[in-house]
Amino acid sequence: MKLSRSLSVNKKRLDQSLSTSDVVFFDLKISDKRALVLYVDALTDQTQIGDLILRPLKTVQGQSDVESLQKLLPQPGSTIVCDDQDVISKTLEGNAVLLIDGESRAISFDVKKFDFRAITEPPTSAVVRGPREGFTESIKANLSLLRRRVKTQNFSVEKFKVGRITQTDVAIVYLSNIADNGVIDRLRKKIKSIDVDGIVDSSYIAKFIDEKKSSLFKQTGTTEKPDVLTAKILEGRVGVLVDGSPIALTVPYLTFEDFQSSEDYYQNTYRSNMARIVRVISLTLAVFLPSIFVSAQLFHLQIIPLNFLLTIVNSIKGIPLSPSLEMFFTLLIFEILNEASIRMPKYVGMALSIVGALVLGDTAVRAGIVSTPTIMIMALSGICLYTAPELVDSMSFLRLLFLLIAGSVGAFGLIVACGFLLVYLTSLENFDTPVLAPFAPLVAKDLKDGAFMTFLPDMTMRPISLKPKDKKRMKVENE
Amino acid sequence: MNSSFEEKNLIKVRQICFIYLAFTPVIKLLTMPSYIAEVSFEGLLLSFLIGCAVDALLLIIILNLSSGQRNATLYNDFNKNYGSIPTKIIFLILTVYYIARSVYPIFEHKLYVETTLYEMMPERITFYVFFIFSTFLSLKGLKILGRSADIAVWLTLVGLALALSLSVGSADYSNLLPLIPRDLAPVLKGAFRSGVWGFDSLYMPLMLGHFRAEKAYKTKITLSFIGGNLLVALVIATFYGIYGAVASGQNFALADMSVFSVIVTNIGRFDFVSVFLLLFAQIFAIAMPLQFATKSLERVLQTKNSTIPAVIVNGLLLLATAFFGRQTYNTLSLSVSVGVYAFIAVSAIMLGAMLFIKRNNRNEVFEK
Repeated sequence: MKLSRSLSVNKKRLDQSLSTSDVVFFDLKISDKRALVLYVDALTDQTQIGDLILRPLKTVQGQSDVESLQKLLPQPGSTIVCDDQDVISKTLEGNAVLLIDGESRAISFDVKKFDFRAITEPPTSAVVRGPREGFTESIKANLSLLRRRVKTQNFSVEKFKVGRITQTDVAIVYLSNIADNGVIDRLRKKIKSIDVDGIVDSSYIAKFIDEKKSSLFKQTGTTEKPDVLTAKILEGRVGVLVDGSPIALTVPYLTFEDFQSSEDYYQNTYRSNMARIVRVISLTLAVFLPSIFVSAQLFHLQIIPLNFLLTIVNSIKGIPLSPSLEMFFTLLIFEILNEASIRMPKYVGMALSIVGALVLGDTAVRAGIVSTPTIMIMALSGICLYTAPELVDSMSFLRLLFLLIAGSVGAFGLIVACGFLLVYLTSLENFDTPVLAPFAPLVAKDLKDGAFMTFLPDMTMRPISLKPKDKKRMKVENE
Repeated sequence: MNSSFEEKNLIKVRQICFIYLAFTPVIKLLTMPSYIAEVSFEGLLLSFLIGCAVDALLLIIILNLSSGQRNATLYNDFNKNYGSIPTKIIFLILTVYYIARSVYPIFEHKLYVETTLYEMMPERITFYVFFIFSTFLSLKGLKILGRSADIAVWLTLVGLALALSLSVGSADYSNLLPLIPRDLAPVLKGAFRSGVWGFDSLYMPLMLGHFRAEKAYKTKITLSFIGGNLLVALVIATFYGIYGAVASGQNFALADMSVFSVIVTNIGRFDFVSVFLLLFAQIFAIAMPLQFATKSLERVLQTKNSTIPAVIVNGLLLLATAFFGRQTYNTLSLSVSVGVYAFIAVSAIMLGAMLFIKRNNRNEVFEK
């Protein structure tokens, strides 16, 4: 509804709509006219309201119309609003809105002030070498972290409001001369089509933009680090920032991204290659080791070296559970400990470690409930899983699934399950990009930053799998 | 995601090469060497090579017959030239062919898995998990098969390299002499027997029109076909080098060829890594004809949804395995006495039909 010329009418209507105690209706007089400043106590900087709005208004003599006052109070974020709904939404965003008697328009001033966490190193991606800044929950701070790194007019930011009730700020960021227009359009369309009551974290957005909603596997890249997001944007990806979330999303997503670390590009290339191989081997061990061990014990004793077999035979003597049940329960206990250690207050953590390692582990072995090799395999698998922390969700599920298959049909079941997984993953695409690229389909040029990475100056091209507009990343000397 | 064979450019030439390099040769590694050795003895290598040469020739002819209509799928081509009913009949023949040619390899792999990989005979149902996989693969298009080949080719190559490197030390290659025996009749008989595992060239017609013809694609595909079979020839030569005169009884030697290696003696059955890697490629290889049968049946039934054809094809094979799965060697005899002739007949029908279209097209060009 349009604003009325009468301040009393406007005030009455707004009072009815904004009937919460943290909304302040501050009455004042400008020259000889009645006026009203409307703001939310918790979202605004009252010093700014006093210094930038109220104090200059006291000096006004004569002209007190909206245009003159907007000129008198020069503030970059000020806008003129004409209807009730705009006044309400601006107020709830943290602006102060000035309404004047006899005027059917109001002025909104940007005087937001939120308390947010300081920029610190993200706990999930700590590095020895490289930037230690991490995103915070403020989209403004996150955008500033990006802007500081990408100083080009091609850096585009598109903002959206998502969530009928929460009206959360969502921004997509990309380099307009590099990112594929198809991806940008599709992402824009998907975000605009989200019709939900609220968005409280970027993972909500991820679930809406995923192509296969029921998939076990990730279809959107995530990062908490501005340097990583910058690098991804430079490769041609599109980033999504959500107010209230320190985790930025990136599309298109390639599974191998999660085997790469920002540190790979900062440290010695040989060391990085070694680290990547270790990550791949670790994740393979994490997923397959428990199932291979169980399947070997149950069906394929011949594949276990004799001396190791003797050790196993000695240690499983008298164990009441079958190898598969034993491993299943041990993994289940590991998952329980893991879940509890995340949720538990930190001061109980020490006690949990003692209970987990000593009481459950050592005592269970001494009591003859589980065998030592099983505990060892479970521990190794558990540690290995965290070499690619972004894949923990799907891989821990796969580990249990493969364990059940190995325990019931043995190695052949495992091989068939791997075939099934390969077919499934090769058919999984997001934003028309196969998640297994550059391996399936094989994109030879992109392998320079695949399982092995070449020296940074030799990565002359951007990943072709992402279909960047400008494929060339750097100038080659003899060109 | 169901995908129809009508979609264009689903597969890359590279992926077809990988299919011929990684998938089709690996099913020849189980009973084929011992079965040829039974009649050819030291001439088994020659028998195998003759069989491959015939298949390679067939592949070259198919590729050349298709070169005039690079962008047309086989179905569209046949439909345009022969009309709907004859095309459906040809595709029905193809469906039966793909199903028939998958029967023995599936039975063979079932026996291999049950007797060689497990310490004790596993439950009969163990192998049936394969049909879940084959049905899933059948629902997918060529694109997914091609992408799977992109990954599987490396596993196959590592598996073969490992199997060969572990067993080559125990092989006495003089067992293969003379390479060309005086009496060629057993060699030719062996070559004929290899036909049970051959006719891989007949995968090509269904892939026509689904890839962008690039420079020298015919040479690349033919060379990879030959390359894949040469790798098998190496395994066969090593196999006969190890077992010599007793080779004919060694049905699943792939899993045992390396046990004489010092590495295996020292660190355990390390050779099983190669066995498992090759088995991974083998499950794709034996599921591939079922996927092609599904896609052919899709054309016969005129449906864009692969679910029903996939269930029919895989269900038939599941039932066949359940009822006759233990008759592995009887099936092999039947495949040699009837199957190979039927495969030759299907090849002849395909070549004839394609040749007719080629001539038709040439006449059209002249008339224009």
